[in-house]
Amino acid sequence: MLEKQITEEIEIDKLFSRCAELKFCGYRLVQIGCTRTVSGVEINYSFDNNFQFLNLRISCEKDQTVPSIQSVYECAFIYENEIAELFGITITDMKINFNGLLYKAAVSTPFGETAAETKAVR
Amino acid sequence: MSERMIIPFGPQHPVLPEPIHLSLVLENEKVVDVLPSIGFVHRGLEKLVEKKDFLEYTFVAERICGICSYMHGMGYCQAIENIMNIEIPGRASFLRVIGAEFSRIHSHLLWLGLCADAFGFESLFMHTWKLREQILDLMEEMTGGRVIFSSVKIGGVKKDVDDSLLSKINDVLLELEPQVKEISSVFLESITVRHRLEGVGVLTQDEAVSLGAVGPMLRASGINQDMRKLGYAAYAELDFEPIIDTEGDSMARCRVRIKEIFQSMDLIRQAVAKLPQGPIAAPFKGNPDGEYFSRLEQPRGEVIYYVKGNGTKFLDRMRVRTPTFANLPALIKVLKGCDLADVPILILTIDPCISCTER
Repeated sequence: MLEKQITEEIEIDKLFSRCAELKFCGYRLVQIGCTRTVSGVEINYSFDNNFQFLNLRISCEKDQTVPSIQSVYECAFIYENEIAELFGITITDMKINFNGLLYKAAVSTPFGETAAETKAVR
Repeated sequence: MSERMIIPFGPQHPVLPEPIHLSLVLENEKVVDVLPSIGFVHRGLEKLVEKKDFLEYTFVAERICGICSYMHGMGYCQAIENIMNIEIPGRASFLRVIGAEFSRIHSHLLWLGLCADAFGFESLFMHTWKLREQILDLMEEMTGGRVIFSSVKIGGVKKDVDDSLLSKINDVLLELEPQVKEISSVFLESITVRHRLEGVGVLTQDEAVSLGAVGPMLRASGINQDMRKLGYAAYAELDFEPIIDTEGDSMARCRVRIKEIFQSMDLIRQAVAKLPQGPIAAPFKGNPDGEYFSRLEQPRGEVIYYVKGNGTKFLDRMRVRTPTFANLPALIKVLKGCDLADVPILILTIDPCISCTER
């Protein structure tokens, strides 16, 4: 069964206000996930309201920062810290910031760039 | 003002063999703050998608966790099937439900045993795990494996179930049900157990929602949310309602899991009764080109698989948002204000799977 899934691509500066609208409409934050692209990353903010799945997508170029949505969705802190530590994205105004202490990974920002050996395998 | 001190919990702790570290900030015996650290055994399975083709990756997805292995494979395959518009046969859908519900029973019995062990009730722990063996035996007959099943594949399932095994499944469940009822009464009525669980680690309805809790952790706080209601696999054709409780404490979480064991038994019986004849897998060709967020209800709650394909045999991205990761904010909340002695049992009541979290 194919679940209907809507993806809205928005600008980074609209992220906070759009999240606030969704919160007001009763959407819960399902997850925040990050995918590396050629020029930076795209970040998916997934929401659900009574099995209506909505995805906000922002594209973030190198050196761009992303605003925290923790003041709208409290649980966002765990995802924002994960993205900051695994992808090396700078997220501003985080209320709860583990400052790189959430992941005890041997490699810092392991998803920071596609490794050269991976490209060779492909 | 009391002096503050930091007590490290884990990454090695007798109550939780999997590595998570919590820095517990204490004032006397009360926990006032918690700083979690994970990544001690981070395996980079999401990263591995860059090197394994999408067919091989099914085996990697199943190895995210040894408890929900079946559903990890199922979630990943479901995402690929949705991207490639593969409609799996009816028989495969029902077989997936049977496998998934066996996993739920096995996981909840495992948790009940660990819970009993955590508060020192060794005989209850051993009795619970003895019952779990019967489920593992059935899964072994059904799939060929006890931990990693390699049963689900893109397009359906690999192994069919014959009539004699279906009949055996019904017989074993019939025998198992009263035995689980017997141990359930100990969990729910014994004064020793109630003393350790009742009123401990209360998560209110509002807190559960705002902290993004999922699964039994959320339903024990009165929220009616179960991803099986999306109707994936054959759940749309089965009759069930999510199990919820209202107390929001550790006992409520225990009650939800116990009731879900009986619900899973009922779902398996329904699936066995309605199992249609026909093929168990749909053929397909090509590579996935597109993206999909596949959602399932694992024993610990909602899991999300984000798969993005680019038309080649290598995927661009495979991300898993596991239920334990989603429950970490709620865990931090219930730990704040608790007694140090209650920390192990509170960590257990989210049913943490660090293996899933360290994918």
